[in-house]
Amino acid sequence: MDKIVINETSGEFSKQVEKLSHANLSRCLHCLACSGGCPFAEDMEYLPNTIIRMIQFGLKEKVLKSSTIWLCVGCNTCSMECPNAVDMAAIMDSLRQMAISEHSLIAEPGILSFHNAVVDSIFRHGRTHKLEIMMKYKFSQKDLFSDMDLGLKMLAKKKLDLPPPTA
Amino acid sequence: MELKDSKEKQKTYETLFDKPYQKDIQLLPFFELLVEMSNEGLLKGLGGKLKGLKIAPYYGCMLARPPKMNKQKNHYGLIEKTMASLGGEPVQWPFLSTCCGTFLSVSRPEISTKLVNRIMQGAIKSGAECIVTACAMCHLNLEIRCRPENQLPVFHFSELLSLALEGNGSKGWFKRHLINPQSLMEKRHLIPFVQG
Repeated sequence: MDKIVINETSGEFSKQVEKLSHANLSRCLHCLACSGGCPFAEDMEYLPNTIIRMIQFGLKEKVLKSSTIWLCVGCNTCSMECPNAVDMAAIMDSLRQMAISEHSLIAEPGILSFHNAVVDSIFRHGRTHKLEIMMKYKFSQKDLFSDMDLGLKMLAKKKLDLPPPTA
Repeated sequence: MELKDSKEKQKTYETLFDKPYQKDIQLLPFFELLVEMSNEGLLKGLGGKLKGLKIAPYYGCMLARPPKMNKQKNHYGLIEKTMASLGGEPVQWPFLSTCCGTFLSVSRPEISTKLVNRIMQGAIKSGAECIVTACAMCHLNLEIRCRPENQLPVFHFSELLSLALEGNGSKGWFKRHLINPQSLMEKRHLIPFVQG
């Protein structure tokens, strides 16, 4: 892996993360169990345990701008692997919250727009309306045609409802 | 769990939902209901309709949980137990709790495709004839992101339960699968497949 240059220090960063996530960062042994178990690790910019180390060094901007925090789906595999009970998924969750609230650059805007489309739909209908979510997401990405065949197949198999759900 | 122990959380619940908190109501996940049923012997001797069907049990990340819950009981083995009591043969395979990629299937389909095909190949190599999952999201992802060469029928485990228990109540249902389970079901004499 490339070297990570420490060119910023935000002394409060690790405290902020611990407060938001209720996880104890100093319990991390850097044994790499979380990174080894993570199904998404190979597509991440930094490995999950690297993120913990970076937080400890105060590399706030680098962490919040990284793709890692958005590629984490919160599947909790890391939390199951960790021999020292560090809640990695909660840490990633709080980093996403911070990235949004501090208007940091979002490395994976597509993933965030999808989350927003889901949340909007729940606010509107009380539960999700899949077709609406997909249409909204596709418009936000200006990408209407990928997976079009799949969408039509799912409509034909009655896997997507046309009208919004009634609560 | 937390709601039960925290007065403060119960108050938040009451303001959010505008309903009094009822402490007698216990939330029971579907899975736990089956554990209870199995403990009471209700899942035994159900006729073995799935006789000889080789099943790869797939939990995905559904049973993974934060470290705070480490000491709670865990339910790995329940699909195996239920399916075996119906006559199925669960196989051992390495991907039973590997995440399918959930929503990345929409926003980063290439990542989900990679994971799904790895899982499907694992199931094929283990000699399973089908995958049984307990999560609707996994079910969908496995079906939509699987490359044609790795296709293996995927069932939600409630589908197989109903197949084994009620005979023909599920007519017409299985054609809604994106990976057609027809040939497997015919081979195993599971249900007359309704065309249409």
